[in-house]
Amino acid sequence: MYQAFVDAFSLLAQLDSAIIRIVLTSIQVSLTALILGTLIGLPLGAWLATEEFAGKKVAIVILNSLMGVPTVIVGVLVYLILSRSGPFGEWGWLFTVKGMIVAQFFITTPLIAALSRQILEDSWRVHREPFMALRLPTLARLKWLIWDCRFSLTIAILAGFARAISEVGAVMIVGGNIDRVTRTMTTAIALETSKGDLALALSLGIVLLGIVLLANIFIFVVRQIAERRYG
Amino acid sequence: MDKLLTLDQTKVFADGRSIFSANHIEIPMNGMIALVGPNGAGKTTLLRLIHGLIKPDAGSCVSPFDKHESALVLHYTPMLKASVREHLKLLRDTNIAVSDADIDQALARVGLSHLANNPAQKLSAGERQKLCFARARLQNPKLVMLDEPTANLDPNASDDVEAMMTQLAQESKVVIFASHNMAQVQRLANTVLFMQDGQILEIATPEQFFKNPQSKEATKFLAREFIAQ
Repeated sequence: MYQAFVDAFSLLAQLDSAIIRIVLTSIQVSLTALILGTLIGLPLGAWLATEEFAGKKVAIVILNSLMGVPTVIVGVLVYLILSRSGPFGEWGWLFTVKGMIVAQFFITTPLIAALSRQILEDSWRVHREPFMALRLPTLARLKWLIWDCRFSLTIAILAGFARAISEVGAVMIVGGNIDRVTRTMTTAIALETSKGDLALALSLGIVLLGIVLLANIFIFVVRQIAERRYG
Repeated sequence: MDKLLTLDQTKVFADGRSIFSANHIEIPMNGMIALVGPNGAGKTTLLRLIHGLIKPDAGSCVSPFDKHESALVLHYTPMLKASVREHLKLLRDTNIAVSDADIDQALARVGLSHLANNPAQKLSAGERQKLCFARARLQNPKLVMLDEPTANLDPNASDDVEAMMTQLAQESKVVIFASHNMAQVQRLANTVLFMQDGQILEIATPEQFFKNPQSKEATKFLAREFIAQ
């Protein structure tokens, strides 16, 4: 075990090109999915937090449930959609980075939307009356509410990133774990561990932990600065 | 005299109980109008009704002012995590054209220019109220409604707010304010509306109201208020 750690750090110190490629693929997939998930999830969460409509409670329960759907289930569904016989088979996105982004988009979006809704709903209770008194239109209300909660919402986005970068089931099924094409940190860790190459698996694990830690530190610092400025 | 508001068989319910009702009442448009009455009398409900924030559950509430001609300053306005200036820029998202120069001028008029880029959440209660006034003024309303504008303010801040209210009235704007401060009502109001239990019981000049209240409810209310103050 000790030797495995030594070899892992040695691989990292050498800036192994295979590791760099895998890390970059992971970041590309997860960050793109996160950006798309945020663009859809945040307004969706804000809309659910502020608007009243029939079936709202059912929509919230469904959204909350989608947060906990196993990623392999998402993977299978996206696989079916993108497979040759599926509705989007002709796009040829199965076993590509694009397909993996689609899968992770469906993983991050409900999570970001559900967490945002909760955060924004609390703020909406406070700002509803003043916004209405100013006669702000719906889109403006959503915009200012998101702006007001921007620092708290970083937690929802961070949670989406953590879920995307650390999931293995969906990217394995949709991406196929193809070397130099769709291999990510998590799929590589699973594969290399099963092959017995613990050094490579451990080095990727260290990078993965480092990325999640850095993201957390970044968000923590941003919140600290914001709290100091805005109280 | 023009009518500020005509209420006819108006009823408002909340949680299954009546919180405001009026058979037929016409409120004259006469300078500064004070809404007085105990807590829960329906003062805030009436302001929200006039502003169009709520609609009557029965009857009608007719005002000559268009939807965009009134501004309402709430009893408590929570601040956003944004600067003082951004709280005024927010109006650009309504139908109001507000330039940077307008914002600078509005801030200068209420004496908040030096705090323009500061976080609004760090303003004192008096400064927050001034910011709300600046925002109300930027909406260029013909009718300004203020819900207990000097509650929780120290005497200096209260004086500033009262001066701003007077200034609004001098600009030919109709000002309605709810207040528990009877001295303030006597100083500022041209008309007093006394409310209790969701009903308007009396519309009078301050002289009439304070010297010779017509309803026994108003007499009791004034006795309590003056003892308290």
